[in-house]
Amino acid sequence: TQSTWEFQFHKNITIYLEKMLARPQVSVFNSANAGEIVGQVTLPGVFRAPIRNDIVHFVHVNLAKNTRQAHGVKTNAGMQHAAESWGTGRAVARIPRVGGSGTHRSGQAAFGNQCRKGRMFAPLKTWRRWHRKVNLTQKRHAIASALAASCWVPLVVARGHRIDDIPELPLVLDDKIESIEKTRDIIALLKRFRAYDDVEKVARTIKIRAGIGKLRNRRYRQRKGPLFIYSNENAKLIKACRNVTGVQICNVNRLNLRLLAPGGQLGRFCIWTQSAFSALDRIFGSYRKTGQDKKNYQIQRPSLTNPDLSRLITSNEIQSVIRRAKTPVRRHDLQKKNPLKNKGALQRLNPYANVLKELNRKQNEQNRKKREDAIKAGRGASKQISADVKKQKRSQRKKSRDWVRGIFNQLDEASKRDQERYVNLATN
Amino acid sequence: FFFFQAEDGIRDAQESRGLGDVYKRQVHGRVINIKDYLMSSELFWQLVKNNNAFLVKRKSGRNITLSRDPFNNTGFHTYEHCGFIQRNSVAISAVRPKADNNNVGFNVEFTKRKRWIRRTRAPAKNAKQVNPDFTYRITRENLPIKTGRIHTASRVIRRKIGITRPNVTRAALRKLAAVHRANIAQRRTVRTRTRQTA
Repeated sequence: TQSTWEFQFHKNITIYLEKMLARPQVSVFNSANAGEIVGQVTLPGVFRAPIRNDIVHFVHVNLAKNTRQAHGVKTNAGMQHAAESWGTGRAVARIPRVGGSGTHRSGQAAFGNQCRKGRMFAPLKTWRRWHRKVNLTQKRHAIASALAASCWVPLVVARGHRIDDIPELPLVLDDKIESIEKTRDIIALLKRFRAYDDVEKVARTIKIRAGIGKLRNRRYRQRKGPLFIYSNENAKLIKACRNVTGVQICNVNRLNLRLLAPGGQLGRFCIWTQSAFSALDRIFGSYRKTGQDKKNYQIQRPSLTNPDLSRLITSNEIQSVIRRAKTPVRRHDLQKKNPLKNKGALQRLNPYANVLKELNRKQNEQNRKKREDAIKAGRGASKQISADVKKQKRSQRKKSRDWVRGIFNQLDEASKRDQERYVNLATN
Repeated sequence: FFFFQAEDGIRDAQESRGLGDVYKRQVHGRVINIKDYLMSSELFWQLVKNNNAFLVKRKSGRNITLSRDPFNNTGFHTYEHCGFIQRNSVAISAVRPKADNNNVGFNVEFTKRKRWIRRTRAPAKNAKQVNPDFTYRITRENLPIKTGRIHTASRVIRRKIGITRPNVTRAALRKLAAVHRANIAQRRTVRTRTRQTA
């Protein structure tokens, strides 16, 4: 018997599988008339696979190593000498030196990676492990993620495809396009579905490659346009699409990560035929059953049922359990401010400082005003003084001057008398 | 996988499934968009933040990361302002005068969803779900607004996203004002040019 907990767990998985991974109907468009929807297909389960860009990156990086061609330096490069070290005692470095005579080369250093004409450090060998084996399941997960990413507009737009005006994503067209033979018909089709912007983008941005690759048959670099995915082996579509710049074509039974996630970047703009789209369920399976063509392959389960962070945070489950947010407490200032110099710091310590300052300021202003008024008043004062007052002041001044002079005369006489006395004393 | 503790098993299934109050809402017939739970903008951000077609990195001064995304009204590449991954965002662009007409105005585009489908209970397994929203039909509300109608534009923006995304509205309105100012100047030169030729 299962515990209640386990029962809830299993019950919730099934609810999740039924509801959260609900697979809507995708419209199938008439390839001749972009406005007409001729059918509907349930979205294959693989488009609900978790988008694991880490797996895609890993798989892409390692699969990219598989197209490498071996290279290495010549095995005997730098070693084709019978050079020997002269040993010590000859006032030269102990590096092996080329023997013989009659040429500049004799006596020169050889063999070392530091020597001119010597072999390199760790000469490159062709038996380096160039290729990588990637686990089959990992490769399948990567493809599933890449497919899942290709049905979300933000990711396809982030990859740089011009899909602003296409009718729907994923874009599924009826099987009639598989029998299109002419390139001009494909171009007309792309224009009809407003996918030609993507092709034009590619054509517009073809550039000569920077670097030596341009001399090694990699002269031009171009972007990637739409990817047509078909299912019937004898589709004439292949030949029709071949010559359109940027357009690539792929069989649904042989989906390639380098086409679905070029450069390891998810979100290729894919154009599906109806049979290719429907075949995905058979190839990859869904959450209810494993794939048939990919035997026993089960799509990964996402680690989060609900990736919407804002909803999670505002949900009852979390809000009822979390504590209230703490108001940030700052125990002390990050940098001490000198209150003698910093007015704000002073104010914080002594709230009366500002009041005092203000009072002083007002007082100073008043005093200054008073002084100015007094000065102004005093400026015309001498004109207003009457003649009597002036006489009085003059006589007073004279009196004080005479008194001072009298004092000085007395002092002079006293000092004269003292002088005479000393003189008398001295002579007598 | 789930947010359960051992004691949670005792509770009623309706109460805690770690899915927020989605099901409660669904039971009461309110509108939900299932896509929100499959692919949130936070998830898109994790996939897109390091590398996307709009990214512009500059080393001048400090290393800054900018964005050419039309739905980004500040230019800085941050989650909040990365508009093309968000549910509600607005793109403001200027309409430049062309050869045939001298219209100067601005375009206001929203990443808008079509009307959500009301659902009172979970649909039957075989029921045809014709919901264009699931497969992200690209619909954008495009409002070519002439220079004289900046107030209408700002009102539309504020009504559509003013409550749910106040910071984004602020940035959008700022950009709208800047575009409007530039348009006025442009219009003046266009007018004088046409007067001169005429």
